[in-house]
Formats: sequence, structure tokens, C-alpha cells
Amino acid sequence: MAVTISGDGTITGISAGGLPDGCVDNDTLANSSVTVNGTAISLGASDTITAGKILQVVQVFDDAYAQTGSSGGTSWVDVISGSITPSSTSSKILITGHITTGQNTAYGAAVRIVINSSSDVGTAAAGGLANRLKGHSVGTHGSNTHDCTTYPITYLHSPSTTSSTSYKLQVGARDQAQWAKNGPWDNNDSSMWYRAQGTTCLQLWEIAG
Amino acid sequence: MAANIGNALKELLDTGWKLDGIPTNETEFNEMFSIQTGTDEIDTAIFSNNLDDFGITWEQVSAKAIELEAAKEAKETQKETDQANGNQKLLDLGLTQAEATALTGYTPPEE
Repeated sequence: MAVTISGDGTITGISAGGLPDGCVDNDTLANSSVTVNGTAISLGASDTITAGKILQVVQVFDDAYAQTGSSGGTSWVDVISGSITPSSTSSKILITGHITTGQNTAYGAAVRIVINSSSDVGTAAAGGLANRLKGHSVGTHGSNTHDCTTYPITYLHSPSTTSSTSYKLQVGARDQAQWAKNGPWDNNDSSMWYRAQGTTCLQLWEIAG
Repeated sequence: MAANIGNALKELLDTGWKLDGIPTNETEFNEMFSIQTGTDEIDTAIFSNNLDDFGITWEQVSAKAIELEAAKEAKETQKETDQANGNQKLLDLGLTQAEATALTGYTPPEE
């Protein structure tokens, strides 16, 4: 095929591979298109790279100390919450974070993830035992009320919506036990007692599906 | 003293409660305290920060905290007294202090 240069500014007839290697540089590309820089690819307004890309991240952090007394083994208490609005129904939400608690007894505590305040995710049913705490993650630190435990949370959720979606981490303590958030139950530090304290954190990562 | 606010609430209440911080007076207590009034359909605790729902006052809580602290201090004092008396009885039996300490682990405070 013959190469034709038209008076309207177009060139036709160039075969694939017909240009010398490296002759098209970044400046040749139109604005808002792909820019190649070493190993990085910068996308313009016409963003089309999809699966696996992190689209947005929401983080909620809490280091405030609090104490809670439970009224029963199946009662869950809100600890931290965050919301994210997915940009696509195919997006996944990666939930990461951690919770720190200090129990007043040797009994453990469980953490569960709740979506839109209406259902828990990542946990199975209570196995037919109404009083069993079925958490996503559990922790205990023995009988010492001067210490606390940090336990992690990781879960990949498919909300299948572009509406704002809320995620909460809740704690349930065994047998009406008391517990503290972000520190040990006994928190009266003095010159003799330097007790370790912790934090609670929740991150919501929208990942392109 | 601070930890006993939670311990006092534990002694005084048989329902759920929440304390967002460590109160030192009535105003702080009324701001930080919530009482559990129920649970929703997925067993999430429902709390109320309405004073009318509390069923307890800062005066009661702080009084109980002071009582618990006093009881704790009395218990610790009694333990120290018992240790010293027991140690002295062993010495009266003819043991050296090193022998008594080897048996009990107790070492008298330096004069």
C-alpha cells in the first residue's frame, strides 16, 4: 500500500510496525492520553485500566480510651465505623484494621464486621447456640487487667452498589465481662506503672473489579 | 482512682453501659456515660445518653469508687502486715532472715 500524505493533515498507508522503533515519544501523544515514563504509565482523563487498581481509600482512626460493661453474651458494642461510596457495582471493598481491648477478666472478646448496621459480614451463624459470640477475630490477654490486646481485621467484601456503604467494627465480650477500648482495664498509671496502650483503626479500600 | 470508676459501675449496674473517657466530676460523667437500653435485631447494643435513663448518679458512682479504693488499700496493707508478722514468727523459731526469705520469698523492707 502506498503512503499518502493528504493536504488535510493526515497520513495513510502506514503498516503496523512501519515506523522506526522509538520514533513516537510522549510529546507526540495527545493530551489526556497515555504517558509512558520509564516503568510508569500515567493515565489521562480517559482512564481505562480496571481490575486490581485501588480507586480510593478511607481511613478512620481512634485512640480515645473508653470502658464498657456488657449486659449479656450476645450484645455487641460499636467501636469504630466508616463509610465509602463505591464508584462501580463491580468494585470490591477491602476492609483492614485493628482493634485494641483490655478485658477486666481472663475472658476473651470477639470482633465482628457489620455492614450498613443491618448484617454482619465474614462471620457464620452462631451455630445454633444463641449465646455464642461468633466473631471475625478474637483476642484475650489472660487474667492481667493491666494489659491489653490488639487484634487485626481483614476481609474482602463485594457491596454490589454505588451507594454509600457503612462498615462498623463491634466488640462482644464473653459472659457480661467488662472491657476497655484502646488500653488496659486498669488505667490508673503512676510512677510505678507504665501500661501499654493501643489504638483502633479501620481502612476501606475500593478495588476495581 | 480512675480505674475504679469502671469497677464502681460494674458493682452498681447489672445492665450494659459505656463510658467514653475517664470522668473526674459530674459534668464529665454525664457527658461520657451511656446506659444500654436494649439491642437491635442483630444484637447490637443500643445506648442512651439521656440522664433520665441512667438510673444512677455521679454521686453514687464516685462514692462506690472511693469505697472500692479504700477496700483495695486496706487489703494491701493487711497483706503487708501479714507478711511481716509471718516473717517475724519464723525468725522467733530460730531461722535466719536468709532462711526465712528462702522459704517465703519475703524480704523485710530496709529500715
